[in-house]
Amino acid sequence: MEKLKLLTSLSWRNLWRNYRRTLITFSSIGVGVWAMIVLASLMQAWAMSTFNASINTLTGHAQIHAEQYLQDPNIDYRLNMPDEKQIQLLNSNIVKAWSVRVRVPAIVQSERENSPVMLVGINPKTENNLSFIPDSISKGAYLDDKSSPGILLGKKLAKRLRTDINKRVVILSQGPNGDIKERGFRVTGIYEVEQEDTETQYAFVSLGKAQNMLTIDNTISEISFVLHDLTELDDFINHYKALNIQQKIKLDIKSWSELEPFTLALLDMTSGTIALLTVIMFVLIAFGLVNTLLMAVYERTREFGLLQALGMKPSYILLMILIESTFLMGIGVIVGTILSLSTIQLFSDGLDLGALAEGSTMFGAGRVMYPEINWLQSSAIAMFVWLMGIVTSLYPAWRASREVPVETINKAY
Amino acid sequence: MSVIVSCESLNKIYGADELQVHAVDAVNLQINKGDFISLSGPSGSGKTTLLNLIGGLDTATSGKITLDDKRVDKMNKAELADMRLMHIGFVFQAYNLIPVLSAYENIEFIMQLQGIPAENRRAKADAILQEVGLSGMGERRPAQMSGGQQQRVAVARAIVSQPSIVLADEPTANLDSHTSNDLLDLMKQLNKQHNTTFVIATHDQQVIDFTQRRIHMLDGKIDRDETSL
Repeated sequence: MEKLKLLTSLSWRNLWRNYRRTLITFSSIGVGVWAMIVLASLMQAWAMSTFNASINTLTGHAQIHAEQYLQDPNIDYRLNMPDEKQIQLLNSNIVKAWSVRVRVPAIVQSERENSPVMLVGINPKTENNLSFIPDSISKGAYLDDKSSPGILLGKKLAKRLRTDINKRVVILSQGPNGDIKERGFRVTGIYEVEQEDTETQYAFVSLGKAQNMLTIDNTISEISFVLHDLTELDDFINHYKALNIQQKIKLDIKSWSELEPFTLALLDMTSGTIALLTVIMFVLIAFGLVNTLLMAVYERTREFGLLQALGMKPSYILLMILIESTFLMGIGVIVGTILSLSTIQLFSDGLDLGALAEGSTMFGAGRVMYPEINWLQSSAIAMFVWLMGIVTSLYPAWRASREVPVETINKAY
Repeated sequence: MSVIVSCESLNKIYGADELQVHAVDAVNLQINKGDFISLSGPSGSGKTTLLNLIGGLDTATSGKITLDDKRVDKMNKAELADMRLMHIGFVFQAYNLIPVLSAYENIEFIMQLQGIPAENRRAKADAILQEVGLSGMGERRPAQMSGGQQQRVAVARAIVSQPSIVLADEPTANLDSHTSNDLLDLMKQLNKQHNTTFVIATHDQQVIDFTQRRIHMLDGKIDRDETSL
């Protein structure tokens, strides 16, 4: 213990012999760690933005369809409205919100233009907490109830169709028998979202009007739901599947990861990229660290000789350099981590990427990122850099411990 | 008188083939407890090499070295480090002290490595600093002391744990004659008081004249070994 105290004291003081170099090394380690943690947090915020946008658009945490609907989203593949037992399950505590929808490909026609669109019949009230629609109306009003007569168009689609609030558009789609169904709707609301593609993709009408227009009685295309806790999704899906088997109903229940494989791939890629960036940044830091320690070792070869001449074992010299590196890395890592957490906290209310985000909206992410402090990830990065820094300093430490006393002592003369 | 160090047919050869240098050549030497020895000779005569071999800082090509009845030439690195720590005190020409430690800490350094408890260390360091005439300067770092003061601290560190022998390599080389005299007086005084054995490698005649036993080396061999009464 006494020896460890001595080595620790020597290491700490040695660190400040060339305080300018030490401060530069602290800074480079600190900036590296800061960049790693902030970058990881931003990438995760971007991935989460993509995930949330994907979930909020219409996907939810999972969807239930008739078999074959996903392969061919055709009016022929429909579901009955959920029965009492299904409703009981969907109304359980773990489900945050759920809704039924009719979703069919259609053509929307204004007096001047037409455009392909996905016509979605919704229950306006149950879409709250489930999808983006209720909170995205920028002009006009949201649908009142499931028999509201109006239609909601995206801003970009309305512009393309050269239509506006209170104007009429005609929707054409295919009915169950293959005949064309059409109906006029008055535009009652324009919605606006960050992902402009969504604005051209969907037109929303009330569920009743959609069913009525398509003459599909009280049948639907899908049930979508979100849970309070995503980790319970697999269990919930298994329960639902068990219920279907019990009821001898053949339904297709798919989680968000199956419905949005691109988003899943993006999340996986983000984790991989964070790990890769951490390693790259560490390699850059490691060069600086090894350089600093080697310089310190070469400058002090005579001193290491003296220490050995006085009876210090080579293993103690190795330990002394490792402790020095532990301090050097530790302070840099702690400072970098504190700075990075402060930076993330500073932008936790939203970091507007402005024009830089134009590309990212293509992937479904928003313009505003909401970085969050991820304690586990930040600690993992900090510990990785710290430990790898100590491992990296093994070489300079080994060099120092290998100094031959007689050769180094004689350098003094 | 008990023998502390014994060298038998000691050889140290540097280089190989036609570039071989016989730095120490078949040296036989016995050093007794309490000896105050100068090891002199021209540059390249082998005095520093002999000192390094005795101190376990260098390894012999052949021959036998015994220190306190232990075979130095048979020891591995860790054993040599232990032997230096427990049995030998060193004083070098320059770069003698650990720059980041105060005079107190430099003296305590050896004791700390030896595992002596903190409460005993400071008392011993205080006493030895007083003995070398530096009381009140214990908190100073090497850079805050003169060359003579630094060498006094080095001598204090070398003798604080009462080693069997103190090996000093050109300890006065960087000092003026007045300071050199003071340092020699100090070493002589410690030699008498504690019966500590000193071997001083030097080519300073003032130092040679000061010692009781004078060993002169030439071309790696002991040329003369004289003892004054």
